[in-house]
Amino acid sequence: MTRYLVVLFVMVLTAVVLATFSFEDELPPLPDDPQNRGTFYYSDTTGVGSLDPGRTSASIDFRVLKCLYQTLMVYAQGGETLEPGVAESYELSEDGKTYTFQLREDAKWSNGEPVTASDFFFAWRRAMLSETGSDYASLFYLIKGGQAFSYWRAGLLDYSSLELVIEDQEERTAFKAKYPELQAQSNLSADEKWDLTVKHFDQTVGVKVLGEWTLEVTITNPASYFIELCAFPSFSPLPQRVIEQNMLAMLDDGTVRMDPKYWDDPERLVTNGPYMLERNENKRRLVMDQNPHYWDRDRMGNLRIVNVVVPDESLAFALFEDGQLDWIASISSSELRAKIYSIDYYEITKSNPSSDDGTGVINSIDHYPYIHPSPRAGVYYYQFNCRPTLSNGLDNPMADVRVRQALGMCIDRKKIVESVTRNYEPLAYTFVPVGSIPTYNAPVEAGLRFNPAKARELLAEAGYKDGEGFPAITLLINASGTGGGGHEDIALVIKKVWEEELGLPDVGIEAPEFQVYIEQSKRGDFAIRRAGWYGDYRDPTTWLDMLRSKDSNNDAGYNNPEYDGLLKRAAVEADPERRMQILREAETLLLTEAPVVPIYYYKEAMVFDETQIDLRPNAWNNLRLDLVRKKRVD
Amino acid sequence: MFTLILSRLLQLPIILIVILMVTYLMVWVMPGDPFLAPEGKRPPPTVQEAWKKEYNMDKGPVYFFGNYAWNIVTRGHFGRSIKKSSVDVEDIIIDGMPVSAALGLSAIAFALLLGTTAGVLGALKPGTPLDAGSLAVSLIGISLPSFVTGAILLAAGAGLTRRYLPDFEIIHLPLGGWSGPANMILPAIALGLAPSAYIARLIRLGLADIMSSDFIRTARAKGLSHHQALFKHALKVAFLPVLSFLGPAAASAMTGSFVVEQIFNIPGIGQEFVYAVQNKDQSVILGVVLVFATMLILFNLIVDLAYAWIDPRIELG
Repeated sequence: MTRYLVVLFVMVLTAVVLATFSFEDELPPLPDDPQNRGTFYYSDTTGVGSLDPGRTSASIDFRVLKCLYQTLMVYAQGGETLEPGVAESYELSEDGKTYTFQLREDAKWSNGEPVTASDFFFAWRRAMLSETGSDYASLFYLIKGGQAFSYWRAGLLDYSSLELVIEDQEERTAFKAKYPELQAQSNLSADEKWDLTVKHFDQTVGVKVLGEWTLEVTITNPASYFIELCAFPSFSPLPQRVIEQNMLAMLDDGTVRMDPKYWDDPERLVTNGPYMLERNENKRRLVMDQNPHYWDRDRMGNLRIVNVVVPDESLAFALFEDGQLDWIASISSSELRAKIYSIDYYEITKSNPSSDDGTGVINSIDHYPYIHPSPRAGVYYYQFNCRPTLSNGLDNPMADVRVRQALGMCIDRKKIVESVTRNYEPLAYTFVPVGSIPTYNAPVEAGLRFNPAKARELLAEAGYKDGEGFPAITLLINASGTGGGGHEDIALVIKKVWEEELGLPDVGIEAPEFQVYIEQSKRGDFAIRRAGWYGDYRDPTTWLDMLRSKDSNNDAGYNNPEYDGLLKRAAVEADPERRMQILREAETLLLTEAPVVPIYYYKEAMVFDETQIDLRPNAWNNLRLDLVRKKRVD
Repeated sequence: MFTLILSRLLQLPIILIVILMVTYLMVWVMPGDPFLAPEGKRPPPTVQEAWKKEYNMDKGPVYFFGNYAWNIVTRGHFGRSIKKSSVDVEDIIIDGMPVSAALGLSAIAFALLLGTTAGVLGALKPGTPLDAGSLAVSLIGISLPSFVTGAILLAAGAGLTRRYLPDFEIIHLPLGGWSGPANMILPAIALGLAPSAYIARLIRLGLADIMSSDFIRTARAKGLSHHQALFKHALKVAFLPVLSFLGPAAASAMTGSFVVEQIFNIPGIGQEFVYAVQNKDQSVILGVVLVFATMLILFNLIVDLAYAWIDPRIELG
């Protein structure tokens, strides 16, 4: 018996000792503040992935990066307009291609050194180096010479990699012919490669330092959205001197990479935003404190921001109701459903049915005032494989426009959002979400409407009267996990209408796990699939480019020279208004040809108490956490 | 004894290498690409190639595996997470393992305490409501999955006290997290309930069997009371099967439970492992599997040694 007790005692003791070492430390106290500002707590489900602005593209990371770094421009509170950030002002040349930024001289890094034009130059060059592996590298391709530079650098590091890097053979041959000396240069030593790269960048890429506080950027074609990109965390500056100390050059192939630990190390990380990193505890929390050298400290809302990782959504709600969280950054549609149906939401929504023009949306819930749903600049849609044959070698009926239109006209959006997702998302008739870009008038009238009679006619014209002779097809969705649930239910509803109204003999639903779904989509191994797309930047091309015949995201295999031509014309159009008009034409064509059928625009919800904090949810998720003032101080 | 420990420890690396190879083989055939973002957005090919290079994944599976194993042996480096590119796998293990281990140990301690008590109480008065009660406890423990018990415990222990006794802050258990000893109570119960039920059953059945055996009858004939015989002699023997159950049970409790960690927001290693598999984050999968396997082997060794300690008649070798 004693031995038994000894064993128990030892176990408990070990547990306590182990636990003591693993508990979270108390945070250091905040300094005294005349404005009496405190700590802002918010949660998300996974925590940040990477704090390297030149590399990440995740919205969770961006939220933190916007606090840590300040870009040339920043979004004003509310997310609709831009205001100057590090740039005091900028000038745009007459051809709409050259921006000259004048930087403010009082902008400082968290180590007290000034933020200069060369810090931007340096950071952007790093993002364009192929080995940096920037998720958003393609955004830099808008800068003159950016794309060619990143190909050139990849070829310099490893000439054979060009085969993989430039997928299109014609383009590859042309590129190789343009740089005949590149193959020989790829055998140089690491140092020589670096010197050559610096020189090549200066000569070919449209980023120039004109003075300590003057930066000139030339872009490939007039694109009014470039100035918005300047407010993207990917375009943050980096403190050149500090970064160079933390860079590692690989001697074997000449790549230059950061010490990955730098980004998580508060001792080393130097930032220029309102906040600086206090600690980043993987899977637990991330703490940011006010940057004592930030130029606009008086406007800041809180001295400290704590990002708590709470994987379980009901727990996050419990913490919010207990006052431990000020904001739950986003809740999934299933959790939203669970929450709102427990509070008679149904009665409210019934009196506000979704409208037919894609704008109807429920914005407030009276009975539970803390949930704030808002539409997002993203679209849930179905996509048809447009290649002449399917991956199994059989003829593809969806290659016929009429078949695509017929199937598209049998998708009952209203039924889907009202009785399947039950979230009353705005109905989508356009691929570019209505209202997401103020200067763009999406062609709502061109979108396919629910019309089974017309669909039957079209299908008969295509040679499949009443579905006769229509081959068996599979509808690809992902089972669950990332992207949320509900795909199966939506697919079943759509399949039923196709079978009943069009007489399709055999529509199978394939619902593999998410990773498999992605692979199959990429291979074009589907007849029809569900998909979703959030816009990256405020321009129609962030959606429309995806269906260019040679775009790497064009899973539909849609290939229409007329469509490509319109996009090309838009790209070189200097007049913004005319450019939008051309893009509208392109989208009209797209909606008529129906390689994609938009179903609804995403709607997401966040949780906060309006009377306590002034957060303004918006479609692009452009929040100014640094300006959110919390009324209650703990 | 020493030869046993030595030979087991010598076997360890061989077993681990085999486990690692089998795991890698499975990861390799597993579909999916860890470099793709959700909703299927794909960075340009230049970037995808750069990532593959950075993670030694550009030259085929054999090269990656060779490199991985070599780094473990020479530098003790288990690679870097793909999803969190600034985090090394050894950091994930060092951060998460103590948390999961502490929670697992306290869960097993709780299971031992509850299980033995229930088992002994049942055996003391067979056929009475006490016995039925102990059976009911173990039935509930075995049948209810931890996501149910966890959620109920959280709601009852932390939620209801806050709602109905808002002024008694001292009894408010924390709503998840990992900041102090109070954080361990509810998850340890949630995690320990199932093993406690097994232990109760093992002890209850073992005691019933042993109490009717010859040596207990002899002890009773010598004049020991029923209780004395049970506690002094029978319990020791009844405890042996519990011990062999404890080895794997402790190892599995200490390597973390995804469900309990998720419900109570505990930064243990169980969650990391599930996320790694979902994202095909191969270095993390391999590193964590290696740690799990090592723990399982070591715990079985400890159980064997404990066997000999509790029952000196058992010879090891």
